[in-house]
Amino acid sequence: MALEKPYYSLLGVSPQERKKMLEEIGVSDVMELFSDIPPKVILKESPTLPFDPMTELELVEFFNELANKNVNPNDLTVFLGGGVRQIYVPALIDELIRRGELYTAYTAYQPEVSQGILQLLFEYQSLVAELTGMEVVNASMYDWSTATAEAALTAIRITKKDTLVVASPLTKARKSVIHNYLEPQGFKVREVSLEENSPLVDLEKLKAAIDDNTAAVYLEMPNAMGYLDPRAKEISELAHDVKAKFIVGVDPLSLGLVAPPGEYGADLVVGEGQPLGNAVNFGGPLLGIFAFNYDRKEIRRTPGRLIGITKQLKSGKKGFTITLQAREQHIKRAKATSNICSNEALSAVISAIYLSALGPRGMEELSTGLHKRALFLREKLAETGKVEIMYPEIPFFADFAVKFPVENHEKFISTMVSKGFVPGAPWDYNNELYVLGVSELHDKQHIEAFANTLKEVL
Amino acid sequence: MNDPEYTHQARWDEPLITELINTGKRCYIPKRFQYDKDIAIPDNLLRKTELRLPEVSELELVRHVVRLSQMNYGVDLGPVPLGSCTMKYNPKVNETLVRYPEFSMQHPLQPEETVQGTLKAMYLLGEALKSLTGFTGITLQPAAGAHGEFTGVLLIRAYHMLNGETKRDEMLIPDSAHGTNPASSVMAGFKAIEIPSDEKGRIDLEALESALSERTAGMMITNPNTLGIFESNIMDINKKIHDAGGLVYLDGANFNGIMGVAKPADMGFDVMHINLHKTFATPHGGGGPGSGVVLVNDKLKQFLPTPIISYDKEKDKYYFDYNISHSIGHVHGYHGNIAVILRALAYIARMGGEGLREACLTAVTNANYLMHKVMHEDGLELPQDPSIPRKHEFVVSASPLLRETGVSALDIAKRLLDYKLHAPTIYFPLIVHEALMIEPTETEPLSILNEMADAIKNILKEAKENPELLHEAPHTVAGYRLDEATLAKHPILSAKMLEKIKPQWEL
Repeated sequence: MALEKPYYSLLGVSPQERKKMLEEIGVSDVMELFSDIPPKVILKESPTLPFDPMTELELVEFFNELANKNVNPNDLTVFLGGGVRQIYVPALIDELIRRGELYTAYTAYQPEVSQGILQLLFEYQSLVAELTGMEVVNASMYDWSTATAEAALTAIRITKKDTLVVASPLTKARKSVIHNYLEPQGFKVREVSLEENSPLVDLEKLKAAIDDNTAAVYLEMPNAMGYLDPRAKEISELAHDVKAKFIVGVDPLSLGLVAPPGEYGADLVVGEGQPLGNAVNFGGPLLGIFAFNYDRKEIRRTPGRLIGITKQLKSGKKGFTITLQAREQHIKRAKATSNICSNEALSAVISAIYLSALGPRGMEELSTGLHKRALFLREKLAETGKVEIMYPEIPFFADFAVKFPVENHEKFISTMVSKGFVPGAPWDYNNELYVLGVSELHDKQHIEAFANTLKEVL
Repeated sequence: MNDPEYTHQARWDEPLITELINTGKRCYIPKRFQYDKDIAIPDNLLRKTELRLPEVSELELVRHVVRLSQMNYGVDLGPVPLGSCTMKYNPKVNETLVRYPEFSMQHPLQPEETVQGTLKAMYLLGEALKSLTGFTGITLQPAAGAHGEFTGVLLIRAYHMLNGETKRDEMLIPDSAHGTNPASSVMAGFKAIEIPSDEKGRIDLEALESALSERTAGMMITNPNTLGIFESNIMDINKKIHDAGGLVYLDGANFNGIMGVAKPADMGFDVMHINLHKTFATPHGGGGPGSGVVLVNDKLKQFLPTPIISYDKEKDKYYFDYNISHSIGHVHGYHGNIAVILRALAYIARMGGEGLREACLTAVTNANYLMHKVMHEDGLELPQDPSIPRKHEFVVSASPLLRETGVSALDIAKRLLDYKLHAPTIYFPLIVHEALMIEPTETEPLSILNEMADAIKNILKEAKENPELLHEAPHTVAGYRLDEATLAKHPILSAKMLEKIKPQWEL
């Protein structure tokens, strides 16, 4: 074999070494090691891929080409939220998270050599517990949607009842994820319709939907359209009246300003942790937040890894380890609380660093800054005289809904993109309605330019 | 050989970051936004409780994390030969590529025309994986292997439902399977039926036949299995399941053992997941994020989650395709772990089809070489026929050592940490007592394989001379064995709980 094969840099053993090793174990041809595979499925040669092997620089050039097919983010102002958000990643995060000791590590099943990441995950659990007003946070789920579904399953296991009542409008994707996690096991999802001209559920209909079969009531704060439900405390009581669990979904960026769910009676809190320091990455990896209050029995019904603090036997000092593993699939198999194994640990570590970097004042400034950007954006859109602001009386955090007076929405969006703006996203159930969100990247100038462009286009 | 007396990790007395509150210090200060009007959120929705986050300077935070990183072990420090985990080297350039703002700053709800590069990357990864497996459809949504399993068995369920076969509620699973298989099956509404292995470590055909019935929805098979052994009867097994009306799921955790050498679709599998964080060299991140993409044949394409990525040749445009007749909908809030998918594409592009096959051949050589180096050692035994070549991993049992010296697989694993090595997977698969499941991967050099073999031999010697040393191992890394029993009984899972419980030991 010639030495110019680009992939040699990713193999630990050279062809001549491999030959010697095979000789040493009495194998004359490496394919003998595959003699137990039916010969008719053995490939005579390697499969054809859309590309030939590349050297590192060739790969970089290939990725430059791909990158150039994407819009340059500096040329596009994106008014999108919905749980995930564009953020600025502070420089120290990438510097720290690229330490090979952290990102090339396996799950910390050998705690003695994994104290670093275990402590960081314990810190993540502790900081998100502070943020949400809960006592326990697991070491992550995949994303907000799967965390919500798993929270519903947890409530079902605890209450031994079978129905989730949804007290917020959900995106189609989240609704579908919840359905896929609940329906196969025979559990039910009951949706409640919205009040007329409101992004909030009809309270009377919600009351009628909650009954003795209700395992949990799920409320999003803010909801998928950006709005906060001022009746959260009341809804929590409705759930507790029938001994159902109250699950709250949050945008953690709101919690420097908005009340944490622990203040209004949440039993389980879920949410999207991506904007806590993780680049948006076209929607993944995300970070499913899963928090709850400690109860000796109920904790054994919850999914996901938990990191605990204990003492080291020999030194007597503090140490960290994965605990309560008897709930997990590698021990309990078919009887496990969830099938989750790989989670989003490194995203959680990033969030721990980000929350530590922000501190209490940074968190408050960030939340308040986002809210004020959204207020300013709404004001400027109203001033155009062309945009209809929806639900002006309902409080919101950093996203809200509008109507643009256009016939051809596809054309409107592509016109706006050509002028450097994404004017929100059409709401899943009504493409007359757009949900707009702001981010820390936005300045007044971006928002004013956006409003001016809308005046021209509309 | 590494000296087990040497200290191999830093030991920092690093306080919990949560202790550093109320100092008045700042680290990251968000960008300012001057807007004089009041916030518009009613008082009853505002935070009332104090937010007790740390207050540290930038330097303090950097030191905190750097110190903690020195108390952590990963592939960049030494081998992580965990069986069925495929802990390959993670190419450094990939880490740079995924951080291009053109990739990292795109929001998933952006119009397709603004993200053609990312969509093309997703499409290309799909095409490459189809070529490697022989399947015809793919979803990139699943965020992890178990998430992929769940998705795959949901597809099998949707298939039977559409055919009106609602009574098919049993999923067959070999006793050597990963725990995620039965757990995923149950979440998808199936009963998990365990199929025993035969004395060669393969699926017991008689037991399989007697388990098949009109209630069989399918079977989840790991091949090569968790003993590192290929199921030689696989075509026969798959035919039997198909004849009974079931579909066959391949757990692709061990795909590294056959990658580029054989295609799962040719063996008769209907659906499989691939762990990009194993076979395709993306980092494991201390537990995640991974990616568990799912591939299917024509029987199951019409059920795939929406959207898939398609290419319009005429317009030269990549787009989200919602045109899937009986889609199960979504299993993820957006489109999956894109940054992981990009890394996997970068790895595949560098290897090419040829390199991926070479990776497999080398991984299998490495595993068999290491097995030959240790399998005859006094204290270990090979639970299955040594004449069967292993694939990318092998399992030895330390039962003889336990009987003779009282030193367990756990003790061996812990002592390996003192030798600057990571432990293998232990006590798995469950069908082997005192199992040590070892997967060196193709990226480990010969010198490390020899070091591993020497360390294991030395530990077997130590077990006889000084078993106590091993019961208390490790001695030279950041942590000692932990009081796990007390923790499980009285869990302390956050700083908040710690404050309430106030343990007697030193913080």
